[in-house]
Amino acid sequence: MPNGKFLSFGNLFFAVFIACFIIIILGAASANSGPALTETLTAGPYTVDVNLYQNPPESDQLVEVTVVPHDTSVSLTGNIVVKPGLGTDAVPLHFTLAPLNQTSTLVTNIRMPVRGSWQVVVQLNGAKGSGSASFLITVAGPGAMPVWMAWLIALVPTPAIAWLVWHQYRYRRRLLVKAKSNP
Amino acid sequence: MARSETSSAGLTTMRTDASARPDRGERRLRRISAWLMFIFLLQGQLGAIWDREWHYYVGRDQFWTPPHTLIYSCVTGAGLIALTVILTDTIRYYRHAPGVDDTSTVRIFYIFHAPLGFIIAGFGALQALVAAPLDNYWHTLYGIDIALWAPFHMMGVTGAMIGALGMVYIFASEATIERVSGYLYRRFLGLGVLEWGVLFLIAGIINFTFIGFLQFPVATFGPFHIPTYTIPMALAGGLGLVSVVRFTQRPGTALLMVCLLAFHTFLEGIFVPWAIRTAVVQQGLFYRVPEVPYFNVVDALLPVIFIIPALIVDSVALWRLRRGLDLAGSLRHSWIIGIIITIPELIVAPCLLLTTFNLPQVLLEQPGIDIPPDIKVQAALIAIPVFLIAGGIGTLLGANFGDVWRWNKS
Repeated sequence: MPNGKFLSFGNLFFAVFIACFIIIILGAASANSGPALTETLTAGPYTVDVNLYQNPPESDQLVEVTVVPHDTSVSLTGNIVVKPGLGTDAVPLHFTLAPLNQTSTLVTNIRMPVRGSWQVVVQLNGAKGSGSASFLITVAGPGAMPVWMAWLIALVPTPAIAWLVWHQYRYRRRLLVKAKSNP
Repeated sequence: MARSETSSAGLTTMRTDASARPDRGERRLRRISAWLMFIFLLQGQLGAIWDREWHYYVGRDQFWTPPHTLIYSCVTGAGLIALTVILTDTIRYYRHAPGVDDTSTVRIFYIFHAPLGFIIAGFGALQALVAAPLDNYWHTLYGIDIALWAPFHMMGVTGAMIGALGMVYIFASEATIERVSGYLYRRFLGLGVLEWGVLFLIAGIINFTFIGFLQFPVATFGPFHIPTYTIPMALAGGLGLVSVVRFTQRPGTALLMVCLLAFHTFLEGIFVPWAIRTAVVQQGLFYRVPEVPYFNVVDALLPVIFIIPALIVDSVALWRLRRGLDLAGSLRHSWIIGIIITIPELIVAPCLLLTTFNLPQVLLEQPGIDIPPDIKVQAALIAIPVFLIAGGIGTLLGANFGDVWRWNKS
């Protein structure tokens, strides 16, 4: 090294930074590689593992769901229906399952638009007939803004509206004077 | 065609060569922009009515439902047009282009010079756009059936109303410029095409308030349940009916505006149910209620609420003209007209919505309920004056804005 300081503070700091970056990336990659939640269900004649890749799911976000049959020789089709639970003001939503890369696994992306309790119903069809099973999840929502703050934000334009009305009241007088002087 | 010439008597004859007017470029810019925004406004109002029905029949499953797509494409388009005109006119102002000066523009933020209507419309569109993600956030927290009175619903609705008001300013100022310029222009039933635009826009503002009927909070006085929708209905009625007469200075235009409102409402009544049925089939959705949407006669007849008030306003205007009195100028007694025209609205509206002309059934207690007299008096003493005051305020605003629109050229 030109000045003989291989382990200078700058080089050491840079090396530690790179190492941390690699660790974080590897950690994130490994965290995303598997499902966040797995439920084993018996849907009629079929036993399947239903994987959610986000737990808890976030409201209004797409969540990948895979349905893996224990018997890989069976070719299945089906839907996932998400139904709002008690106290969740929403409507049921339907999502079609599609084969994943020509395997027996089915995949879809589901989305629950409102936070709260939801029932995930898996409906399957195959050579052995139809079946369905379900499980409950809780969908997380963003942090709740206080209602008073929401109204404060919503009413921010109100002073401008009031000013416009007042300004136009004064402007009207000037216009009428001008109109009467220039008939 | 000859340009204007001064006759031997010293009077200026009507100018006939509009194609040679010096501000032709500016007129073209503003009017083309105005009519494009007019189309967007119609689209947005259609989307808003459709959205109300969509919530009821299908339920909001995502932000980009078909009616939302219609609404927010309208808001974006109108906002971009307003911004374009503001920026273009600012440049033209500093270049001293004909027709762009301090009499035809207002200054905003010390730098920009643009017509007042485009500025107001632009702010309205911006407010509606800002409200959209906030409204989506509110729905994810509290569900799909939050009432119209939710904070960010009201923010979006207010933005839309401001945008519509701005558009009236745009059309009215162009109509005023056209009227005082001396150039010939075509009229139908005594109104130029820009004046017709103003009438249609004001009808659209009243039509927009129809979205809220049955969705406003209900005030309770013991067993009495009084919907507060009457307040915006009275406000909009007073504002709309009086402003058109003050703007046009012609009796009969209030009733004409109600006819346009009826036409607009009827077309919506045909389009919206069809649009819902078609979208449900195309997207493989499901109805959340047992009914399938079809043309609703009650919705289509809502403009009937304003027929008698329109006749009253037109009659008063005609009476004043026949006595040589001015239709513009004083606001002093306008509120009295507002109170008078609100009374038939308070009677007709519940009869229409309950589809009965049995007035006692509408106004008195329902069978089986014995309401104490003091509760009735309490409800009447509080609710009715509030509605009448709303009508008076609406009429005052209508008189003020009508006069401004009559003479404003910026």
